[in-house]
Amino acid sequence: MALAFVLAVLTGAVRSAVSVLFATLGEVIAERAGVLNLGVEGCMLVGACGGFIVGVETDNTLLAIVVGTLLGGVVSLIHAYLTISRGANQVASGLALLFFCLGLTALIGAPYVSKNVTGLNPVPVPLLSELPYLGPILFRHDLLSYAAYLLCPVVWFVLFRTRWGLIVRAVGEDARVPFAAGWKVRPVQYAAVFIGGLLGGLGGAHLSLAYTHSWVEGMTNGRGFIAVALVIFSTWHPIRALGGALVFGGAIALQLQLQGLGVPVSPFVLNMAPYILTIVVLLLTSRNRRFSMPQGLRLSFQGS
Amino acid sequence: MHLFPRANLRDPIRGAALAGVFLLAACGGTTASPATAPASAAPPAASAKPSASAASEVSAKPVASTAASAKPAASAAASAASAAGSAELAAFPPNSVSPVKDVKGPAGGDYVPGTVVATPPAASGPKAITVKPGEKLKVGFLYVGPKNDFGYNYAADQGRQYVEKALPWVDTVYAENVPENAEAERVMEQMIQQGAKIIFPTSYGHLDPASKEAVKHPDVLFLHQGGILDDKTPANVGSYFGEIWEAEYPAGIVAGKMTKSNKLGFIAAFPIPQTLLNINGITLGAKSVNPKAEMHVVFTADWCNPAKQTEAAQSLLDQGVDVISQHQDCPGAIVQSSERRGALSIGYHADASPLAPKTWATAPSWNWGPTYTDLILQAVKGTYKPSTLRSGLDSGVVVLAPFGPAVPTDVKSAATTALADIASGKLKPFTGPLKDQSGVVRIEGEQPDVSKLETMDWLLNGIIGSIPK
Repeated sequence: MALAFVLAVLTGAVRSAVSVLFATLGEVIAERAGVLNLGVEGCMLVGACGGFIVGVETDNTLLAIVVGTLLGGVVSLIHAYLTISRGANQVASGLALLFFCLGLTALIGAPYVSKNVTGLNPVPVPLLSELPYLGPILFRHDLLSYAAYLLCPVVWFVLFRTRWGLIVRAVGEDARVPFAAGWKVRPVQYAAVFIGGLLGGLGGAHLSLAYTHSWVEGMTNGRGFIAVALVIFSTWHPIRALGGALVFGGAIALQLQLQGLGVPVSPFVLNMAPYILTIVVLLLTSRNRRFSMPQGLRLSFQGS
Repeated sequence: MHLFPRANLRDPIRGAALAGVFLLAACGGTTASPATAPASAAPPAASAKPSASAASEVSAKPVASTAASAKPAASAAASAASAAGSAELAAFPPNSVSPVKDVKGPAGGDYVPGTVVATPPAASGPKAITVKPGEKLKVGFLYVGPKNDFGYNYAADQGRQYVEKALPWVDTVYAENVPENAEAERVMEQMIQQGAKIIFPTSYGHLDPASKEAVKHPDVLFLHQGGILDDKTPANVGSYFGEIWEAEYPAGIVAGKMTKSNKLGFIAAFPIPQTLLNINGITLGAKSVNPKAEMHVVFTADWCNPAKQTEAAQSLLDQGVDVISQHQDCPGAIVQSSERRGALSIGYHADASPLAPKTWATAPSWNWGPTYTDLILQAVKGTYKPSTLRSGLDSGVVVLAPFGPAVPTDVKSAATTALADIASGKLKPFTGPLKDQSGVVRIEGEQPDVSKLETMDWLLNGIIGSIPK
């Protein structure tokens, strides 16, 4: 019983972590380039709504995911233009983007509430899914989940082992340095925000097409903000972001499993868990330079 | 029912985010979109003759079914013409008829108005709504969410469509996604400017905005869904609601007979009395036919959060549950999760069988049409007195949605028998002794009256899961 319980919680943790993991990885990249995008929730909504509509209309799941992803990237460009080209306040612009996307998707998505969609279903990985314990926890999910696992090391490699990643991080720390070295700063920031938006859109598409197979206005319910919190929780590191997303997913899965077994546990307390953990991490890391945030997040760069 | 505002204050970020939805949706979503009146609709006086004959033709058909056959809420609009089966109903002005007898209940039986639970002492009653000959009476509806959510708002909109069919001299307007704040006042103001004389604010939190508008517009009648009136409520505000828990017991019989693992699941949102009544009601029904059945309850702490609903359904299914019921605003994600994993679905609010063609069982549902129609007729005739009206299976306001293909005949007949017995008062589900989870006897003998039941704050002994504190 105990073993089955642990397996169920861990499986549930992975299941509900995937959409947030995509968004968190995207936000890591954007913030590493010095742009805070609080509108990631909006990117997720656009991805969820757009992907779902295409899924319903064409019954082509791959196309639906691609469109959802691209739409997330496209709306993030609004934020990129305002903050990078116009030097607008990042917090204000991000929140405006979020509210815009919330209203837009509620309006456009209204006819698609409670429509049926084929979407993605779990595909067990041959051989790996037969592994004891790890098989059911990790390898009996949908294809996007596997993509999410693989994306963590990829993002880490790009950020920390490639020249482009070095430039992104340099831009994020102090844009004057790569600018002085002859690099164009703005295209790098645009690219980082765009990739962040793409991943936010992909996370949203996973939510509507693979996880819930449904669309309802505002269905992300704060997952974009969880992603922003998890970026801090993971101290802007893609591998630790995986851990953060699993802690978030685990908190949801744990409380629901416990409730189903009759253990008195308040859903309200566990709803707070990701935010409490973020505050704890901030407390622990705020004086440690190794974990400090990209310094460029504090200001908008006025060069080109 | 929306005892908590959608923008949940417990989660400020989500609250802010949803406030944003509403602000922006206000531009498009809440522009009171006039329901498409048929282009051929002539003024009522002129159309009285043809529509009257049409209505009597329809009513000539046998409306053959007993109170037990529980015609679905979803098809209520379609049967509106036959339900409002009298020439006078379609005619205008409807001054000479006693409409209550003519408006049929969903099961084909007579529509019986509910019980007046309370009448505010100050209420002298509003003036009769006057409509000039040749003009249509405009009636407005406010929904807190999208009207096609297969849930609470969908059920209300089905009721609005029923009114349009039953009363050809009524023109309806509606607004979706209306938040439970000052925005609702703005929407109602707009409807009144368009000429609305009666407004149905259908969400629990719409009561305060409606009361404010009622003071400004004493000539408009506000009929609120779910509210409880008090001394301060203006004289032109009334309230009505249904005892939906009465349909949970028969749904529980279906669950109890169909389960193979003897594990049933219930995904609730918040531990409000109505939800606890539903959980206890379905559990009593299940235990009445299957004493081994075990109810597992999970609270999501959100009225509509598809991701959390999905995870809740998955976690119950992982624990071996094979029938899932719920009390959520948007039932879709849970119904679809159950379908994908082959577990039986008992929905809520309305018939959502299109979402689960294979595993749909039934759902305790609303059938608002006859109530809306009756209230409008009373208002036009000047007989309406604002009150807190409550009714249940006997009035047909609450029904059991049509059974899915997975439910065998003997199970159907057991459930419909229980439906009829509760409607006739022969069966009272909450007859004691009933113990709560700590073993204390909470109901000793007879079933308490409605106002007592509506304060329920406990779960039955044996239910697995606890009320979040």
